[in-house]
Amino acid sequence: MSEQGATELIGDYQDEQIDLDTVSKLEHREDHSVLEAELVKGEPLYPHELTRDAVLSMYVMALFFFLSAFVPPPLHGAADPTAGTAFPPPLPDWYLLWAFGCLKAAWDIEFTIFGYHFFLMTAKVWGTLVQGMIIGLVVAVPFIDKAIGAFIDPQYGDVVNRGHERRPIEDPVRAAIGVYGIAIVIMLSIYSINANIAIYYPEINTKVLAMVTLFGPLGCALITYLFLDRRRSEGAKPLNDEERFDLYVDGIKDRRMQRIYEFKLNRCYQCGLCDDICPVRDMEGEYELNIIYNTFQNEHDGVAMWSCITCGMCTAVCPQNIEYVDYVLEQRALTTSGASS
Amino acid sequence: MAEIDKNFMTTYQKVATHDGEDEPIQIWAKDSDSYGGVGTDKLGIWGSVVAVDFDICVADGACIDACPVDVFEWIDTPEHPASDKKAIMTREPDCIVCKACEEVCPVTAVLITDPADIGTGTESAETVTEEVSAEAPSETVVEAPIAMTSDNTALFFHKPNKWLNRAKDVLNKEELPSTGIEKAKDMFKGIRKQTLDSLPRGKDYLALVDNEKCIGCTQCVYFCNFASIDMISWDLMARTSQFESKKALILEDTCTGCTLCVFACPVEAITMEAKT
Amino acid sequence: MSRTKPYSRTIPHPLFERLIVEDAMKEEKDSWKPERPHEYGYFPGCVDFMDVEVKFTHLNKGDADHASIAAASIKLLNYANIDPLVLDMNIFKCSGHDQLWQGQLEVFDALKEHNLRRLKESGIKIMTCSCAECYRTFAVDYDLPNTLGIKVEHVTQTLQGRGLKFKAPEDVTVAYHDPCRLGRMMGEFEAPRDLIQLVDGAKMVELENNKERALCCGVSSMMYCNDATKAVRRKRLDQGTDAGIDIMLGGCPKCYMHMQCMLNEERMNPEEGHHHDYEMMDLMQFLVACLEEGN
Repeated sequence: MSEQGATELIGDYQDEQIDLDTVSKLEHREDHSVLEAELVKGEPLYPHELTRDAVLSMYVMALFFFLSAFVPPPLHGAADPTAGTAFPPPLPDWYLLWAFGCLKAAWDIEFTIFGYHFFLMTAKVWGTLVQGMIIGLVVAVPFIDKAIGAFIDPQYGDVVNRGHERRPIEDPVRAAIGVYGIAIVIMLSIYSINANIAIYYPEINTKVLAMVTLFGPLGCALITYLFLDRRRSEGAKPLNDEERFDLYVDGIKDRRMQRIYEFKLNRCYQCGLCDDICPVRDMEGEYELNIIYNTFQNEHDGVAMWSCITCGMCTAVCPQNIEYVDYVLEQRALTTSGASS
Repeated sequence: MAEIDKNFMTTYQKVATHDGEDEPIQIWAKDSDSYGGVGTDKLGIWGSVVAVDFDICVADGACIDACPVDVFEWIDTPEHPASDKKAIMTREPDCIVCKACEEVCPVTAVLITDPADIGTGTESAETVTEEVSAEAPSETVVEAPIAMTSDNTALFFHKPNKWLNRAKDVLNKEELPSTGIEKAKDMFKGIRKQTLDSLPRGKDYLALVDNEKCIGCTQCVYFCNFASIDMISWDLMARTSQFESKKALILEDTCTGCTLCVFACPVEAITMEAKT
Repeated sequence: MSRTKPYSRTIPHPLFERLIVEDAMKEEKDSWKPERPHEYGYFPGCVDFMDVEVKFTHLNKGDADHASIAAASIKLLNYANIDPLVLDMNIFKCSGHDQLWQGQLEVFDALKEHNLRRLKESGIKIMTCSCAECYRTFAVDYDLPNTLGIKVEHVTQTLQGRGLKFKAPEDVTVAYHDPCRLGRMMGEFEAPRDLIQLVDGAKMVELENNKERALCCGVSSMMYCNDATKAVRRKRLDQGTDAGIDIMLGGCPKCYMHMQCMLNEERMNPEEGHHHDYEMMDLMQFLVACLEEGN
């Protein structure tokens, strides 16, 4: 074989590579690049979205016209603003029933110690304050979350936000608290219409409702906690090294391991910090290896996964504490041992 | 400074033999008076395929380090003016004719002759006369092969590593416990032997680079003593297994099948293929 | 579109890795007892295996000498009045870090089992390694503090805070390159820097990316040395030149090996134009060179 033959062979091989899907993928790398969103996939405003919105609006308008033409609502007499205490009493709209319930449930705070009588506040006052507190808590949740995160992981204080916006399934305590909050709002709403309920179901009197309002949400929270906790132990929890090792052996056969890491990786909210900092990705050139994205997509064509230099920068900056380096390790183990077993 | 006589197989006589590991080692001298045996100052040239002029050898040890298949060992030669030990080719049959020892010997006391050339009248070594070229990877396949002689030391010159030498000086002053070098050396030799036995070599074989494995490190280029390896530029293609800008290419016209590149490749991307 | 050739590259088998796999697969059933009890054990790692491999491949004409890292660590431990039991490779085996990260779990399993057995027989309480990868593997993957109750330290942590004194033979500017396994993965940034500060005459500068943001030296599990990974290494070496250093110090023999490989490749291909005018050394070698006379 002459030298020319060898070069030709190599040229053919290179052409063959080009014919395969890689280069065409590269040319459209915006399609699968997390950060290069020049050609954002999705529906364009015109003509797709405009047409769709126009059609839907016209449809709804048509419904209105139909209803008002053929099913007009009855118009009763005017309401009498001078009417006295009606029974059952007039209620606020359904979404404010919980506030009404707060006011109803409140009582005057006063107590006697050693013969001295202390009067703190009336029911009206703290019933109103409680509502403000509930709203305030809802607003404050992200800040509390961040503070807890900084407290739990103080050593990463200088790196990007390590806040713990965890999913309910990963933090059953906070999930239970959340469920408690929702349940108590619902229960307060129901409590607030105790008079109306008593009309139809006299056996459900205020006392019963009060008990349910007090203990019902606690019960819901407990159930949530137990339920989520069991789900955690089924496989969604982070494994320690011993368990992870055991899982390698039989996990590969029934692919439980995949399920675990994919679950952990789904915490990712595509902030792109790992991609920014990956030193291999950072290298200039026409063709850039998007290691993180490609491995994440399980595209183990032998480049992304094996080109990772396992330096750990991605793990260091991830705000969701995703241990990407360990993921690469597990994928390599799966590919190698899975293939050879 | 004297060099080993390149035509010794035709001009010298066979005067004695010495035991090698498997085969006896032939000893050559100008005449029977020029050979006195071990313990004198007249030793002559030892070996045929791997020939070392013991009268010139200064026991530098570079040949022992450079040999990929461990042909050499030390033998004591008291009363010899040049040095009191010499490098003897105990495992001469293992020689893969890579000529690494010939290149590194500082006093040019080593001469390697391909066994196929012995007995056919072409025993005298051919000197390489092509021009030395210090450029490395070119874009396309090179037309004429370039040769490397021992004048290329400039390529490898660098500022001497004085801090490491300082550290070594301090460490050499005392005897420190071993960390397992014996086991490493034994295993290394074992694997080398295994590789050597599994590789066909000689003029009927050519080296072949597996482009999937080649990482473009250029080590084979510098180890090939026949300058038969070149680097070709490779299209950098991400998302393929060849994300390198250059890879090795064996120039088949001058490859002698010595298998030195196989040993030099850090990722074992080179194999031997029969010539068709 | 169907592929005719698979893309995935088989794990490259540098000789060094093959030696370890072969060693791992050999069964050894004998039991061993050290001559006398020691509190500290020093694990040198595969420095000797690295030496026998690079002896013939790329670093033969360079200055790489890995075994001196181990020798230097032992000498420094003696200088600090510690008498470690050298857990040498005649009895122990490689920690298996590379095999774990390459995905070869059976090999890692075999190595782990062997080493755990030997460690139990050795009777040491504290293990010191001069290799950051071994340090992480023993502390995290073997989980020695929990399985055998042995505390694992890096040699810089062991030498820290013992009041050692060093004097550099001449003034030098040095920079410390944080190994990935010691820095990011185990969180140890300060101990090596403290040791460098103890050297009288050595001025320490920080590289542009340091501590948690340090650039990796190479490919730690010996996978896939391609242009992108080499570019990372070159960037790191360029940062050294920018900082104007005379020596770059690493904390792991792998860092040492990869940097030396690149420096050697640059020397062998001078027409490519890359040149770095400083030396690459391991921290232990540097400290030994700075030991005062009479020690």
